[in-house]
Amino acid sequence: MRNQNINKQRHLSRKTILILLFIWTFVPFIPILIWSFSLRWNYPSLIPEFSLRAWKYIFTQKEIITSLTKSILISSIVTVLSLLIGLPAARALGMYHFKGKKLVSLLVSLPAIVPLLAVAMGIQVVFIKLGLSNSITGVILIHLVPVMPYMIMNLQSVFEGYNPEIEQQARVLGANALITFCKVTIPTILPGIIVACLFSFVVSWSQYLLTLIIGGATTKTLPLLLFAFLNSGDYAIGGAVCIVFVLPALIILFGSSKYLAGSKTM
Amino acid sequence: MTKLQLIDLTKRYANNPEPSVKNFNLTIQPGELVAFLGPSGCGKTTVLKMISGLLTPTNGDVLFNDTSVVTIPPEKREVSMVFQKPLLFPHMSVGENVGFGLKMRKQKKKDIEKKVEKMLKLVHLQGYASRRVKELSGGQEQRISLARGLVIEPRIFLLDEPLSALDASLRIEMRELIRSIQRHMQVTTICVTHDQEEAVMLADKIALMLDGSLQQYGSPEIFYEQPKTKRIAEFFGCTNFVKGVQKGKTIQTKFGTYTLPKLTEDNRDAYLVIRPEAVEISHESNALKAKVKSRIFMGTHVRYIIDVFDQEFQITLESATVYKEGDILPFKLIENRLWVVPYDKSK
Repeated sequence: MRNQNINKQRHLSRKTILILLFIWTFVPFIPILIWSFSLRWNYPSLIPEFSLRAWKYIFTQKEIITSLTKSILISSIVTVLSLLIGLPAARALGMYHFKGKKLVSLLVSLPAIVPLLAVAMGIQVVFIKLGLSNSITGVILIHLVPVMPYMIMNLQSVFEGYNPEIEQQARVLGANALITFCKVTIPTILPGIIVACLFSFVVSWSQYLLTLIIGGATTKTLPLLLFAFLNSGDYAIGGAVCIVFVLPALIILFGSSKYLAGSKTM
Repeated sequence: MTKLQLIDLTKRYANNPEPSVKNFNLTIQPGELVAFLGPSGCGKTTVLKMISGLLTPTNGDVLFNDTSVVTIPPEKREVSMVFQKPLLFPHMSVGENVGFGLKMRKQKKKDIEKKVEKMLKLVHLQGYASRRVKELSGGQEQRISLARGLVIEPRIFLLDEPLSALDASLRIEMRELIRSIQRHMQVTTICVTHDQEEAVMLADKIALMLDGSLQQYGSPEIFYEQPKTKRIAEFFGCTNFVKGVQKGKTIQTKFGTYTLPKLTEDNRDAYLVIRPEAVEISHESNALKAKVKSRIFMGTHVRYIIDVFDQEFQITLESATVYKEGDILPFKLIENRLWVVPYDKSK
């Protein structure tokens, strides 16, 4: 009973925090949302003149659709690649003890600490020589730099909480190696993997500077387009693009929220 | 019911010149509950993993009812194992966890449900099948783990320190539960533990392991009454040893000469083993005299640390005795509770 009460209390406090977070996250979007439905919004009027101009523009402008697909494509590929690179690294860091582990950990987190602008300049010179500049491949590669620390650090904590004995437990209960991997290993670490992928996707999704430096004018992802609209001073379209920009991240976030909340490791 | 035989079982790891388990020989009769007792790192778990097939022995053989099983992979060996941690599968319900082994054996859904419910009843968690693993307490988790291991009706049931992660009161409850279920199901069981008291309370027989080899095997009483070596006696809580010379069934020490009828005849340097309980107050003229160094009240009895011939002894007497620090305590040894072990030069 006491246990249940504590659980209930925990549940309540968790709910309160969620609501506060919700407000914190979404209140800033209110003016943006209003802007996107406005024709103009001049001082001293409290409510702007309503118009669907910006939204009509967005759904008819091929440029926006193209960069949306491009952004989704790039971030997805970056996520998958970073997962493939990150899994073995994180497993090693999370489960084994070896000499120089701290140094490796530091090196892994370095891209999240060092200002990437400086690094990107150097990389660009190399990329130009390799013919990777102004290409989607180049953008994907440069996105991997800031994404990897998030991927590895997230997965590392998954493996730190993972007890490989659970595989032995499945084996003695009658599961062969393949069934153990599919039915026990993967489902056990899946919530953590999903969270790590989510982080990686969002980090890649919101890259502006790196895409600009390496991708140049040819790889216009959504953030690049957004900046262009904001610079042009058209706040209505800027607001609408903003919302389109945020939407995929939100969809992913809510889709995977059940894994984010209270993922209990063993 | 399955008879388990371990023959010359040896495990050597590549990075270690000393084998973790060496020449382990043991026969466990069908339906017996045996405790593997020993300090951590003595190779107990390695032996379990070789029985279950999770490790391949470097040498030796494992026989179930006189048939070798070393080439059979763990999933086909019909051995189940409960680990120190419950290791429940977090993405499955309690019922799915318990039924996992049956599902792997492709049993019908209806049969699985029936067996799972029956097993849950046996571990006093009836009606928990649809619960999520996250909702369980530590003790409940370990009971589910137990149920999951037993529901497949294994030929051999292995427990690797299943109680050490639980707190004291739960440990006793679980110990009783394991004992009663084992009796009920008559499955040949090995339970690994480093806790001497747990081994004594739980098992029919104890296999004491030190440094990768089997030191002594037998009923719990034998380890108290007739330990083979000084180390074994020490492991079972005896700290009083007096050097002497054994001639036949008689041992001569500075405490006197004692004849032990159960002793094998031998002529050698030896230790007289005096368990803390093998002492009583004596007012006879030939009583030994000791100086009390400290008195510790233990509830049902009193533990005295005494000084005899410049050697420190620990003895336990009934709680009515009231010798204070510095008092002279006259005592004698209870002859039929003494034992002799060979003299150990290394110590």
